[in-house]
This record gives sequence, C-alpha cells and structure tokens, in this order.
Amino acid sequence: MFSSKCGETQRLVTMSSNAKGATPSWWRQLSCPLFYPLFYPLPIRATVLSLWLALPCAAAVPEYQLVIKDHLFSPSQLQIPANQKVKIVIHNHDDTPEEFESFSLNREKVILPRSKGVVFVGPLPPGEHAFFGEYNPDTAKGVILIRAEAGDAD
Amino acid sequence: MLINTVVLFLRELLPFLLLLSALLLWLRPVWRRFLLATVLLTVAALVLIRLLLPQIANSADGLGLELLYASCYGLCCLAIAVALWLNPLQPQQYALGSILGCALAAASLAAINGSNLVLYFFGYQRSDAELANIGLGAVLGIGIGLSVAVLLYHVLQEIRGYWTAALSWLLAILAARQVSVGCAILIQSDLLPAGPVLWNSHGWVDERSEYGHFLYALMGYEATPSALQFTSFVLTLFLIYSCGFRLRRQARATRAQLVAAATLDIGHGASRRQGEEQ
Repeated sequence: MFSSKCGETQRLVTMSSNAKGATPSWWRQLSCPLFYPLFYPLPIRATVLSLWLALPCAAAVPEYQLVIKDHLFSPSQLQIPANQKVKIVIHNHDDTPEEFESFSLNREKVILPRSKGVVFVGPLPPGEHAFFGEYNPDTAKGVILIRAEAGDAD
Repeated sequence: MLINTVVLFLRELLPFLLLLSALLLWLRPVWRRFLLATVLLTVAALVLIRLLLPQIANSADGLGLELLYASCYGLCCLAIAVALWLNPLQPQQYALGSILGCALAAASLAAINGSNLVLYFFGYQRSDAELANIGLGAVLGIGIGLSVAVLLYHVLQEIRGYWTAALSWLLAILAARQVSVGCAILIQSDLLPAGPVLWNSHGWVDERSEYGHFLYALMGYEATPSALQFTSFVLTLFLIYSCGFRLRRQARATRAQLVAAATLDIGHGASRRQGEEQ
C-alpha cells in the first residue's frame, strides 16, 4: 500500500506515519496469534458463540445420588445406563472435605463438608469404572457399573 | 496416610513446580522479582479462595469451583502466551508486564493446586500421629517434586544452543496441559461436549503409575482422552509455540551477533599477528 512510485506521495505517507507514530502498540499486541480467532469471519464467530450458549440448555439428563458418610461412599456400587449421559449428585454428609476421583472416567471433584457436588458422566459403553475419595482412598471407594438397558443394542 | 499424602502432594505440586522451573530459567536475570511477584499473588489468591470457598462452591448450581478452576487454567495459558509474546530476552528489556505475566501464570496454577492442599491440611481435625504422617508425606512429596523440577531446570540449561527452542516447546506443552485440564473440568460439568474417547493407553502407561503422574503434571496425560481434550491440547500447543517465535528470533539474532563478534576477533588477531611478524 505504501510502495507508491510517486516520491511526493511517499514523502507524505512517511510524514503522516511519523506524525501519528509507528504501528500502535495495541495493534502489535493484537497481531499475536492468540488473538487470531477475533478476526475470523462474523458467521463463524456467531456459530461458535451460539453453540457455546446452547450447550448448557441441552436436554435434562437422569440424576443419580451418591452419599459420603464416615469416609464411605454409599452406594458403593452405582448402576447407570450405557450410552447415556447421567448426572451424579454427590452429597458429603461428613464434617470434612472429600475429593471424588475416577481415573478411568477422567473425573475429579472437590466436595466441601455438609455440601454437594455435581459430576456428569457418559455416554459410555457397558463396563466398570472405579472411583475413590482422594483424601481417604483407603476407605472411600466404589465402582460405577454401566449396564446396557433392556432393548439396548449393546 | 503417608503414601496418600505423598501422592496427593506430587499430583498437586508437580504441575506448578514444572512451570516454575521453566519460567525461572527464562527469567534468570530477574528471578528475585519474579519469585516475589509469584509468592505475593499466590498468597493473595489462596487467602481469597479460602475465605470465599463456601460461597464459590455453592454458586452456579454447585459448579462454582469448576468455573473458578477452569478460569484459572485459562488465565495461566493466556498469561504464558502474553509473556511469550512480549518476550524480552535481553535482561535490560525485562519489562514489568512480562514478569507480571509469568507470575500470574504461576500464581493461577498455584492457586488451584494450593487450595486443594489447604483443604486437605486444614479441613480435618487430626491426631498427632496422623499429623506426623502427613508432615512427613508433605516433606517427601515436596522433595520429590522439587528434585524433578530442579533436574528439568538443569537439563534445559545444559542444552545451551537450543534452550530457547526447548523452552518454547516446554512452555507450549505446559500451557496446552492447562487448557486440556480446564476443558476436562468443563466437560465433567456438562459445559462442554466431550466427544468420543479417542484411545485407551491404560495398558501402556497407567495413570496411577509414577510415569502416569509425571505425564499428567507435564501434559495432562489421560489414558482415555476425549476428542475435545486432545484437540484443545494440540491447538494450544501450536498456538503458544507460535507465540514464542519472537523469543527464538531474538535468540538467533543474539547467537549470530556473538558468532560475528568472535569471527571479527579472530580476524583482528590474525592481522595483528601478521603485522607483528612483518
């Protein structure tokens, strides 16, 4: 844009850019690759934003309860349906905090004393997934059994 | 109790210590100011979280802690990116913004992991024997974590010619780890769709093994990663690595200047010797 062959124009452009200073620093910061998504076309940004906003409005999922009392999970075997997302509400009835953790489910959730926490699981194929309380792993143990329901293909 | 405490400390502290060692290597000339800023920010964040923990945990339909942790992971990645982009390699150019960016990255990670440890320490009434076990476990956990971090620091320092490239990759991996772990938190809260599980590497590296814990701290290793976790990891990895190109360019320029200066010195020396001989 500035490669004009006209010497006068070139001089004016140089003068003008000198008057306003070089590229503003805020623009240099915005040219960081981190901010490239800001410059995506409007339809793409609108689609991503609407998808993001629509996510929490997804359909209601079945709810299962899990209780922590005396550093023990109850029930210690929780059955949930296969191929379906479920919501597990963990109630901590102890006076101490606990951390629900399952390596195979990739779930980790701190639950404060006399409080509850929510973890979503699935959809998953039939199988077994162990979980434990990270603060009391010797006593707080359990397993989530994922069972194919009647009429389910699996 | 002892082993549990060691494992808990390793899992919570190692990610922070790895990031700290990488940032300390980068900010060697101003490491005191960086450490001071990190400690101040971490203490302030931990006090704030400790005071407001019940309110945070019960907010957003019980997902307040998840939102806070995911935000902290995001902030950590953003701060690394901005610090890399500002990238003052020469000591005289170490701007306050860059130091604060790195300190913010380290402090946001320390706030997450530190709040879990604070809960574990102060959330229980314990007997003296339990306290002794926990104390010993904490010392062992911190000792192992520090040893790994110091080892990483010296290995990076030993790669003399390529330390900026190695540092860029390491910071990119650590930033990608934070984003991936943050995504996992949002997935378990049903705020992001997980997508299918891509593979199961449980047979290769068990998440509960020593390697599993180390890889989790370094790159958020999961034996069964979801599509979103993997995609976010890869995208962030390359995005943050590309943010560090100015760091690598400056390092190349400095190396070229040093080589030119050395060549010039050799040339001068040779001509001086020739003059003396004549």
